[in-house]
Amino acid sequence: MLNKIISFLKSHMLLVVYFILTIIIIVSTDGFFNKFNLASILGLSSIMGFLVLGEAIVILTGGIDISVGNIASLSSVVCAWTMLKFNGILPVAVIILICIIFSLLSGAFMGFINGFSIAKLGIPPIIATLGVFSISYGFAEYIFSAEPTYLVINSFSLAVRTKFFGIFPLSSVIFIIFTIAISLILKRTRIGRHVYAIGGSKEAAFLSGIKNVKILICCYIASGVLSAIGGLFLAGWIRVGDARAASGYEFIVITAVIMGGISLFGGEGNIWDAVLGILTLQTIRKIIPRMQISTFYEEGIVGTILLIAVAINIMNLQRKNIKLKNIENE
Amino acid sequence: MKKVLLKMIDITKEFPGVKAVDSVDFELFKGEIHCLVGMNGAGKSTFIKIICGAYTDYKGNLFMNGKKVRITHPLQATEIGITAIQQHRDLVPTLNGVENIFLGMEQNKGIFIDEEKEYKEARKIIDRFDKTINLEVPIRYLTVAEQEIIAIAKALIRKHQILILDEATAPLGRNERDILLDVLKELKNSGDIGIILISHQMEELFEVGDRVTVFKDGKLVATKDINKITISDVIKLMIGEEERKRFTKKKIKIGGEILKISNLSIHNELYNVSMNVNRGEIVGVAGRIGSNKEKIAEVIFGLKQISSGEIYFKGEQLTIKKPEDAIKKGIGLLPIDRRNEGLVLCRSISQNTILTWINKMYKGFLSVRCINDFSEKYIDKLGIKTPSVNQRVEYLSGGNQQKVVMAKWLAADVDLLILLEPTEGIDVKTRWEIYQILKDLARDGKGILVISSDLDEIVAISDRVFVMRDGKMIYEAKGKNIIYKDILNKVISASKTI
Repeated sequence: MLNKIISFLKSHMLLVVYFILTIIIIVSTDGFFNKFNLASILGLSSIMGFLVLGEAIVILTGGIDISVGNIASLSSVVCAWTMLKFNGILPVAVIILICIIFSLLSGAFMGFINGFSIAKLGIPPIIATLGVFSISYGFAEYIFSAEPTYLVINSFSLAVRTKFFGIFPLSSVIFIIFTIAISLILKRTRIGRHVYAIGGSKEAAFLSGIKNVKILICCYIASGVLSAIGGLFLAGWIRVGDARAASGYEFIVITAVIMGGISLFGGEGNIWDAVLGILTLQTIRKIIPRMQISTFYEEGIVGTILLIAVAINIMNLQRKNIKLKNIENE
Repeated sequence: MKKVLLKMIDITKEFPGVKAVDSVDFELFKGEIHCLVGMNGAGKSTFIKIICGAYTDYKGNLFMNGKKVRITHPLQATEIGITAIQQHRDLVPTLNGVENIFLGMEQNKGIFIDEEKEYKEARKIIDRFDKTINLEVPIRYLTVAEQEIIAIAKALIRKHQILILDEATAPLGRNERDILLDVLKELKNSGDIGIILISHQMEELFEVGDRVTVFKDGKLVATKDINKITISDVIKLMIGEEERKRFTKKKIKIGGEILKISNLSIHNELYNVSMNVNRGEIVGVAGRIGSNKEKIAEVIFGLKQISSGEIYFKGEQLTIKKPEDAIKKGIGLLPIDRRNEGLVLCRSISQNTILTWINKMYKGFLSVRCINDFSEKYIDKLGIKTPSVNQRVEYLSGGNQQKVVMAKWLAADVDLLILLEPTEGIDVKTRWEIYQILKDLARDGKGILVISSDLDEIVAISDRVFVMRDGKMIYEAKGKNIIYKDILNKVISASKTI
């Protein structure tokens, strides 16, 4: 039993790191983990968490998606625009429904462009998603001539900002449901196994009769839709639709996924670790101002964490290879 | 009368300017192992690719169980029951055994995969061959032979009737190879499956095969029962003329010691290894996969650091930290993975040849003509078959690629050449050409160290032979004392103690 726990912790090192971080914070600060801060961390973590889920799926296939942040921004703008267009014409509940549909469609569409260019046209993921990165940003700016626009329907924001027990924002609850569902899909269903297979070896997957193109496109669409969900919650959270609302998120999101130990080369990793990654990062970002460190350092700190995480990621892979050789020799 | 599983009539496949497969008629029976042999470029790979659906623009007809089929897609080949095990390209290294075996045909219970059922079924099939294979770790932690058994299990669970093994035994040590050959025999005896086996190892084909088909220049030369033909007859058919079976050893004057290693150890990998190489001498190191014989090369070439021991090169003690140091001293290495480690595939022959030479000669600008003339010299010397020096090396055959790697080191004018598995996957004729080149180099006073799992090769060319077992040097033989059977015994006994 003890062995099992140790090996579990060994393969989920981030859990230990987060635990230590929490203890340090509790000891060194005076009541940092109050209701307000917790809700804020959970809120932002879960909003970015949707992007993390999408990114994790894509990285599991051996790709990368740098358009997630801008797709989220686009989704927030689409949401604000839809509200403005239909305000007063339709009942509020219907408008909100239309908002959600339009936003998700915009995410799905951008995701489809990603998937199509990567899986069908063979454009390298980093370039394809860089293109979509720009397209979504341009489109979002075009809609409101680059002006941030308030959400005219207040009840949407109010709903998003609902907190259960004072610390769990709506987004965090829905996020957990999504995480459980996606984790089950990835680990226990046919399509999930195919995602892992494609990440491990596209050729082998293809030769086993797996429809690589279809699944890759689905993965990128999923990433787009999840990003759009994140964007919707973000819009509700900040009450604004803005083409720059989630700019720079892709960086934090990719860092979180890699911190979670998902192999950069695809095929290996667990999305729960990526979720823990975003939670750790958000806690760190939240603590920075508290530590009397200028927020100007924040980006630098996240960048450093990214590099360290990538280095550990690659080192782990090498260690596994050494282990492999030892097994062979035994 | 045996039942015909696969019948191919008048198959022709043309590439621009060349008929890669020329009006071939072929039959595969149920419950037989049918061997395909031929030199590189004889058309057997193209032929196999037609069966696997990789080439679709072929002429001729294909009948599976008497029904006419036209395979237009690799997936379709899988669907009608053909599996090709092509150096384990069809397995996903990050998935475990069970997941690999059921990949693409997962067993569902409701919406979720029934993992328990999958495990049980996979275990049942795997246990027929080897009960010790761990099915719960990613298969990249398994040995190559185990991976191949998993690939076979994957075919069996799909009830595939045709199994194609293309050089599947090449990366295996003798012990692992025996396991795989036993698996094939067992499959043959079960009687439902037809196996097509491609290999450059004649002994292996004669050990398990029922019939052999020889390809030459795109044509099917002959199909014979294995017990009615001898190895030398097959080789004769393959190359079209009588070729010497063993290399004739001309007397070469052995010069002074060029390399000496004493009491070399690497933690858990090498234990007190001592050996030496003289000028004008070809020294062979034999051992099965896992004997760590290749570590010697890695140490001398600076790819691995030693824990203890000394290396002397031309009498002076060496500390080599990285390949650059070794090259400067005059040591060259032909790696196992010549395509990725030995060559820049997307560059021309001449640009590959000058890679090592460039540091010595480079002053200001490089003259293209100078480079081309320089490479031309080696193309002639080594007999590299190519339309021009500007040919990209990725389009050369394996044997010619290996010659380009050699040219690279000759250009650097090294004194000691270390070769790892120098002729793996290279056809018989080119093999002997490479052996001849090695002999010539030795006569020029260079030291040659050949580290190989291919015993025929070791015995054929070495002046001295060392055998390694589990990181230890256990045997040395010289000149007339190099006897195939003795060395084989030393190598095999090693695997029995494990």
